[in-house]
Amino acid sequence: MQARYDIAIVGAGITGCAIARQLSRFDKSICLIEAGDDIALGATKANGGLVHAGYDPSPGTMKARMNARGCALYDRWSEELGFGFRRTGSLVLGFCDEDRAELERLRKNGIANGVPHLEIVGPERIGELEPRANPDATCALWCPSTGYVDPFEVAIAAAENAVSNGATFMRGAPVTAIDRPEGGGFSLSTPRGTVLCSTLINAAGSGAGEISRMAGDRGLRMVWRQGNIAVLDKEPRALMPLYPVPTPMSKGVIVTGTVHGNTVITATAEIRGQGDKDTYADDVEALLSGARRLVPDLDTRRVVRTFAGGRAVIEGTNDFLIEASKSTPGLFHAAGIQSPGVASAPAVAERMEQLLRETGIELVERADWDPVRRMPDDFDLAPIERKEELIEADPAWGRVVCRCETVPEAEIVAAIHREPGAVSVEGVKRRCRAGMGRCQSGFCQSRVVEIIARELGVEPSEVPLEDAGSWIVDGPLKKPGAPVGAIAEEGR
Amino acid sequence: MTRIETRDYDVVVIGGGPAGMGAALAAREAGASTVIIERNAHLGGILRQCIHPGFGLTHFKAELTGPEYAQRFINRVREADIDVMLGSMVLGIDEGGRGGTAHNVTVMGEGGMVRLTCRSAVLAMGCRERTRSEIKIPGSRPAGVYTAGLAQRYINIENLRPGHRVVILGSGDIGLIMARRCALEGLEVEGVYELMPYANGLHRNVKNCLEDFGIPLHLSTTVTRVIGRDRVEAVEVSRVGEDLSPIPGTERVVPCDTLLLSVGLVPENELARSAGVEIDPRTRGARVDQDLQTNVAGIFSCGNVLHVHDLADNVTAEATRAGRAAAAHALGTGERDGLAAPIALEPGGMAGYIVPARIGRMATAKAFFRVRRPLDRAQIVISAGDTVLFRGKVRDYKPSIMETAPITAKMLAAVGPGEALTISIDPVEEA
Amino acid sequence: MASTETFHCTTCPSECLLTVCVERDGDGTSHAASVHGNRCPRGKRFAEQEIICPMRILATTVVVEGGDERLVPVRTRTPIPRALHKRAMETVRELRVSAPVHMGDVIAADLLDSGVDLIASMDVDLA
Repeated sequence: MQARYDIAIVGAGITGCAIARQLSRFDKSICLIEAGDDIALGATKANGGLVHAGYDPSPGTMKARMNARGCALYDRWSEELGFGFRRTGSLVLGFCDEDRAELERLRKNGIANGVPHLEIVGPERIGELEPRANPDATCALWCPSTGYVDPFEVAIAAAENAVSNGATFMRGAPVTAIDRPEGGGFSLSTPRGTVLCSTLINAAGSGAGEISRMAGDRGLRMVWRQGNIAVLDKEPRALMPLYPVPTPMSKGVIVTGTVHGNTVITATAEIRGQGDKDTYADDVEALLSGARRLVPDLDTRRVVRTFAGGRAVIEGTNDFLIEASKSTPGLFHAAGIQSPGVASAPAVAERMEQLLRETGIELVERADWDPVRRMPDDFDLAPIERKEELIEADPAWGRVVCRCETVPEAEIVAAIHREPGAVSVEGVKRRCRAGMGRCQSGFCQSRVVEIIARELGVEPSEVPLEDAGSWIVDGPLKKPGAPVGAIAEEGR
Repeated sequence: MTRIETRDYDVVVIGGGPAGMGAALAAREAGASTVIIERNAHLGGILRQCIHPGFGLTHFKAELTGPEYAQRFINRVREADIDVMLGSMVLGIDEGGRGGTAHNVTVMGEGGMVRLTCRSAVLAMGCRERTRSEIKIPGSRPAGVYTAGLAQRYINIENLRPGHRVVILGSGDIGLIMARRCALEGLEVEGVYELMPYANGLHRNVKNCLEDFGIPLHLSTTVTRVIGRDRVEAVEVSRVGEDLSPIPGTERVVPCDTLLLSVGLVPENELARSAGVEIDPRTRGARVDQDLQTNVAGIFSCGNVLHVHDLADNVTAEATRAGRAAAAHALGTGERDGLAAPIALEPGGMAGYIVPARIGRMATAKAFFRVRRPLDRAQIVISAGDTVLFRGKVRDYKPSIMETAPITAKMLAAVGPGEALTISIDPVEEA
Repeated sequence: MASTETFHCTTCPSECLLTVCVERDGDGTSHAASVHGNRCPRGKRFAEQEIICPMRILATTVVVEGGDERLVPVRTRTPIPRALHKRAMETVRELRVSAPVHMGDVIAADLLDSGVDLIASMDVDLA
């Protein structure tokens, strides 16, 4: 199998999906190629979801430019793509004079980066802004532009919008080799077939070094900066993001609300072996104790899930690499998109468009381009009248499957049939939250497996948790009974 | 504008397991119009998948399986004039029905949204299992880590095989029962691991589920890492010290493709919380009075949503009291000899919790509790302030068994203003 | 030859810890010479049976055709020798019943010539 596109984007994380969405506006055929079996399987899903404002990257770096601009773009992206986004503002809590000096430095840094309305505030104002913040905090950097999203929801929404505007999504297709045929362009070999393209965008996250090397550019060395993250059960009111004073290595353990009212504690930062997604007892303890320092009344027993992921860091630099390849014409990098990759994604996409134009690629807006992706119905959040309408239209909206997050069968079916749709239990979870809640799918997993099998026409044993090989059940224990009506036939 | 259907009842029972059915039958018998709301397509709750025997010894004086115990109640509910809404889930309970005299219960189901108004609502939603994340097992996140109840559902309801070689963490009754069930169905059970230095389940289950099958029980040992990228490939187990933390150097890697967790149950009280019901942090269930009424007038709680029971028979007994009280509240036939200020019950010594949390009537009552760890020789001591009102006989206590303490009117009368009645389990030294 | 065994009685929730003096007979079988720790006569009978031939109820599932559940839970009406359970599972695995099924219906009469019927534990209606 062989297919030709104008542009191939390797990597369907938040960066690749944002780029695909940005470029789908123009008269170019696009293929978004993903090694895994779904969108957002790398750093994007193992992420705290903060839309950092951009006061901590060093001024003048690519990171600093992307972060502040990306954060500013989120209102429009959220409106057009229909994903949850709250611009709540945030506080960096200081507990002593040294901290205050550091907050002052951050404020100046932020002003240099173009972050608006930064202000150092005292205990009284802290208490007004976030009553649950540690009352021992003597000062804080108040940053009104910080916000949060579900990072995988952003990536999925962007990919869906790109696909509805004509882009192709290819999953389960790790790029194994890249040839550069005479006459220009690239030929990408994958287990799903060969992709030919004239423009190749490297957004492969932790695989970006390998893609660069295969495409004839230098082989970037990637470092796996690993973080553990904890999600806590829902609170009556979502917490405002609270940061400690950062260290040179990381922003420290941050506590934040989420768009669904949970609390997230993110993240530890350790250099670990490439691909290590384990959680560690010491990391989790550091998360919980760090969180209690910011929010003393946080009930850290209410952990719903802990998980881990790596940040795609390029060895020798702490900056993003967003540029046209200096050695391989037609190759563009969006690499080393570590933290704050979520906040920066819309700006990285914008920057990529600009880079393409700068190298002489003509981009003409399509007449039929639609920037709007209709947000799928979320039963849990819908007003009661809308719930009634949905059930009236299809009784499957009235059949609840996930009780913790109130997800009915129809919402799961919709998640499977969206483009690109869910093909795994985790894929369903990322799209409609079935299994995301406090029971962690203890009650609903078997139903979700059954629905996926039915909708995709496969056996339950073929339904994975995530990637191929993550089988959940292995066929029937006893030869199953025939459905009604088939008994007579079997008897013949 | 879409119209939402409204229906009136005296008593709305939320949950169609043994607690809900028991409460509904008692409420109906007391003359209240009653409806049961059940999420699943059938009544019976979790008993439908608890296919093993050991139920009904107290209530029916016969050894029944879980489904038999449930079916007997299902048959009685069918014969009684009780409405049943299957495949229906309550989304919220709030005040304000019938001009503020009733609760509104909002229900979703295949038939659409329905608003039920009622004078009394009985919470009987049961409990859920603690998950891997709550006990923070480190390692990777592959497929093959299941709560014991989910594996039980796959095997007993779905006819699906959750794995081939199984390690079980936790010697609670569900873990032990699943060890036997897996072994009978041809799954290899490598062993059961238990953090505590004693088995958490009933003796009968250690004997019938492990010893009968030669399945080893490793005490003071826990799973310290899950290994495997896509599917579980092994778990690392470690011995733990007296402080229950793993002892470095004792790690052992056990190849398996499945890890079952039986590490505790948690009452499912999200609905209760949102209705303003006060929750006891010890039980994670509602704080109730002697009639199982919560701090919100007209909202009652019983069964595993109130506190985790070990025997369905006890659930039935508690649910019957709740249903009766809910009906009395709805019909205005309740007792009128309430105390001006209710007397609080407090756990003391080795008692982990006490249900009820308060007593509002000068009459004999029972207090239910569990001990926090096994005790060979201990006694119940009931006191008000410094005055000891009752000492029980010295005997052994086990955390796996729910115990009762007698509360008499005389004890209640001895409690001074502002004092609580303390029910303590005090270890007794060998004479 | 005599030995002592201790185990818990499983007859009721009291779970008495039984201490049993076991005597081996000349023909290789054993019997309980004395039982201590039981708080009721059922405990003694349980211990005696346990030494001669442990008896257990077998509970499992049988595939249902055309039902609103895939499986019906089943049990032996009374305990059968524990030694029979493995073979019984192999037999029961192959059984199939058609919906509707009612609690108490005999699914397999005289299972493995034990004299005990395998009965349904629950109703399964037509799909």
